[in-house]
Amino acid sequence: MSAIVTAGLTKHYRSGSPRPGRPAAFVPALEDVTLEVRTGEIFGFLGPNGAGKSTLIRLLLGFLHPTAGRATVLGLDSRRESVAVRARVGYLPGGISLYDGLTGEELLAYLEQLSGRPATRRDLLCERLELSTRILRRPVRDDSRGMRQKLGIVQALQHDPELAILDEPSEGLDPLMQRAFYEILDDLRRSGRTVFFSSHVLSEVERVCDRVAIVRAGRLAAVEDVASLLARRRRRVEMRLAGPPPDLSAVAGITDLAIGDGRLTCSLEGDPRPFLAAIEGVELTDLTIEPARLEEAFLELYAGEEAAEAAEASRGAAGSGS
Amino acid sequence: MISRPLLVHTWRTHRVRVALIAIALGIWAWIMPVIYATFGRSLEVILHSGVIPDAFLRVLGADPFSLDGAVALGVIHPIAIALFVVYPVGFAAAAIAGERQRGTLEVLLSRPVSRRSVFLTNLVATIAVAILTTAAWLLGTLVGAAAYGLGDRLDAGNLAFLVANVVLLLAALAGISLAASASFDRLTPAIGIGIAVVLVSYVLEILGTMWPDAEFLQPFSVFHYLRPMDILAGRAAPGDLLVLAAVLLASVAFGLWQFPRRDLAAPS
Repeated sequence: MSAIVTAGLTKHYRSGSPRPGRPAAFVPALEDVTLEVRTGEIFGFLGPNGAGKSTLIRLLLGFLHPTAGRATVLGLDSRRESVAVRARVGYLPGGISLYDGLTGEELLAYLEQLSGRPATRRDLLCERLELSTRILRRPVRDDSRGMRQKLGIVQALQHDPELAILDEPSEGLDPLMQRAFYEILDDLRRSGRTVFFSSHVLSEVERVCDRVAIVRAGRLAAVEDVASLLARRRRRVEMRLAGPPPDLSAVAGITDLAIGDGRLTCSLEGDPRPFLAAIEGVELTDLTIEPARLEEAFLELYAGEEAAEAAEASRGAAGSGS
Repeated sequence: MISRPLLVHTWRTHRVRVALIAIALGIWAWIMPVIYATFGRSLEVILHSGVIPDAFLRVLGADPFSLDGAVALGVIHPIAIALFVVYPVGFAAAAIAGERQRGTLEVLLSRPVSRRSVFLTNLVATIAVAILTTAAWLLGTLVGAAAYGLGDRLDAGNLAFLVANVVLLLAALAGISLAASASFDRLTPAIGIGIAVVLVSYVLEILGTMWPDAEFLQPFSVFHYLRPMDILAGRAAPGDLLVLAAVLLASVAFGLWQFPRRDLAAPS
């Protein structure tokens, strides 16, 4: 069964109040999003600020009502059965606000009671995130942003939810705690839990996610396996030569070939084996193949979408002018 | 429909402030029979000497320096009104809009708690505070009267009706403030509506009492449906309770309709 399914999910916000003679304007926040998150996977939802990531999450939890389309979470309708959805989901809001007057212990206990499920993972999570008893016994108002984020992660996962929805989860965490958080996600994956998280930190998504969706201006630009997305990326190759250069002109996947001063550079796309076969026996002093980065894929997708939009706009302008 | 953890959390968060208000109201109520017993006769002479205009006497009630009049004044005096309404208006207005403004509402609503349950739990908490503070006022009145041997001059049935009337007035104000709270993302407009209803109602009632030409405005004031002097004199009007109950039900119905329908966008 799928953990999350959306079909044509659309959300438009009303902009300003309607006045006589001036109908209310609507701003599209999410447009026709159709998506499936499989049970047991870690799914990244990528996009810059304002792209619609939080809007989708809030629609899944019933905080917002869709303008069109529908969403099911764990087989339940996100609008009509939102209370039942929230009983089975753990949620970390982006830039979480907590009850400042409570201590960390009181806060977690209160949210456990509201969840109606025992906090079976709390001790383990606190240990992993280095939330000691001393820290948990002081008021939340005295905690730093990073500490609050850790409390946010614990409150979202302490009752071992079937699905964790995390909005910018590593924000405010130092590199050590980010690593601890990634280990927590690996644990969740091993125990068959599903994680849906939004982020604009590409290295993090690349590190932990099985699949990603890239959202741009409220529309889905791509939904792919991280591995296949990376496999298709162009990698930069640099060779220092001690002898004559190899002939790479006919090798599949090689572009931007440049040779000079005992140095060969090119771009390599797709399967690297034809390239490796072609350089066999070549006298080299050094060889560097930079790993494919999600960041490049992300930027390429965005650049491609922008170019397509610009082309469409210019076609539209030409059409209206003729 | 009532969330017990939310109710307990609300009580724990507010218990000290509620206790302080209850003590203040108890002391205020205790003072009224004491003033009557100590200064009542001489003040009555001054009030009836013609120095004070009749219009002002009408504001105080028909017989302000009888024991019943002193007790009634203890309910409708601006200080008493301020103490009585601070929670039904202030807390109720902050209950949802305040959490929304602070960003904690989404932590609460990420749990399996419906918006209607949040609304009703806050309503129950506010009415419980209204009952508690009114009970403190009653206790202060009874202790003050008993201290001067006046306890037997207060009619238990009339006092019970007055307590019910006060609680219902506070519940109606709480319902209005909570409905406003459920309608806004910011505390300021919610609390503004609550305070405006109290101030406008109070001004309309006073204006209508002092100026006969403005009497037609009084039915538009919620305070018009709390007449402590008439109640203590045995002239209670059950219709007043019905009007206040209707205001409460209408505001609760609006809040329960409006809150679940609203979009709760990400806090800005």
